[in-house]
Amino acid sequence: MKYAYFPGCSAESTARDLYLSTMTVTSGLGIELIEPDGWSCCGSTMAHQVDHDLSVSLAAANLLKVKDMRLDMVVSCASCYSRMKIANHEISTNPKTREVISAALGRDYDGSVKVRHFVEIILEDMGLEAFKKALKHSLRGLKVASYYGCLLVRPPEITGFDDPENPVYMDRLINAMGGVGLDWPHKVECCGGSLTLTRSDLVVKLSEAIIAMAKDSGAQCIAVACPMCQINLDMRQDDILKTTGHRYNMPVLYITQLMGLCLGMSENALGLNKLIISPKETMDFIRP
Amino acid sequence: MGAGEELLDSEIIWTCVSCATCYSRCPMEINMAGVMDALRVMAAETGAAKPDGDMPLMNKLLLGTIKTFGRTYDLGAMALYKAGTSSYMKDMDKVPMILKKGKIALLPSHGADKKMVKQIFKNLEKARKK
Repeated sequence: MKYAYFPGCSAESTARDLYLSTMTVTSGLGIELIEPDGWSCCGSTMAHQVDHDLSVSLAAANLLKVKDMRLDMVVSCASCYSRMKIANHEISTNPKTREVISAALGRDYDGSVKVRHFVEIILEDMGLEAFKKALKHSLRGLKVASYYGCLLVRPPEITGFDDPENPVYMDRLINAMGGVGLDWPHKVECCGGSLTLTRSDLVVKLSEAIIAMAKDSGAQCIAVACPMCQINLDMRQDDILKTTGHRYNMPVLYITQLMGLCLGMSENALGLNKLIISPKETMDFIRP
Repeated sequence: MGAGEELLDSEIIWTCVSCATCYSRCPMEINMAGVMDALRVMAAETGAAKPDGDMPLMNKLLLGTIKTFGRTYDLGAMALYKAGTSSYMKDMDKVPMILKKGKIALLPSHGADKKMVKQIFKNLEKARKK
């Protein structure tokens, strides 16, 4: 299994842990990921609010690099995934957009590069049986609330990820690892995403609703696949405590970190030391 | 429907989180997330936009880092945003902790194809002037 891998800007900053764990897990599973030379920002989160053509062009510049590599593009950040899918959709369905974007890039791009999320390639290409064979440890019945957020699943006709109202891809991985993927109501609610620095008051409210529901559903931790969801749910628990007095102490791990633990990878190789709410209780629970 | 410029001064276009739940569930398939984006562009262009939290400033600063480095430099944009909105104290308690944990990059990235990114900005500016 060989793919072009688009890390996204957060891989070098706020989601270094997602990047490290993705790299560790793929090498453990024998999946080859190749980064396109000189990849650049996909325009995620802000460009679409400022300039439509710019937002599509920034994503398309990277899709064009991957087209030259003749591989599918794998993305582990939900926000990059969304921008890449939207760019492909707009370019392939609107000839005028294709013309404008191709002029901006200085080369024609037809919107044809296949964009996949990391979770999709494990389930759809590798398959759960092969994944299970690679596992060294079990989650030992750990109750996990898989939180998908917005960008993987919406709009469904563009992202095409799993089921938009009740996705189960991460739950299937958790169950395969011997955990319990909880059936809970807030899987696809919004954490406040891009408002994290400008309207943190709103983010605190939205994130608390999700964390509280996970706790009420019996979750011992939350699993995510999006850097913005991770940082909001993890970092804002301190603000929730300060503004409401509610202490959740709910670890928020990337799905790749849980996978790495079951593959026997070290905590540092998975970036677990970067989480703000300590995952110690989660790790103590699953340690034999 | 039928509303005019008062929409551009409205807070709601900046408190929308672009989660696209409305669009996904709309039986008439109205792309409200796209409508919100278009309203934000118009509001920023007419200078009407001064919402709580000054999202237009944050957008401008983040895009500025992409234009310069080819990739987002979040700490740089954050520092300039704090200067621009005089909100130094907000979230400052978190900065030493996230730096220590390596949860944010101290310096900008230098791996991007900057030439390509600069060309995109330039070509789109040129196309707009035509």
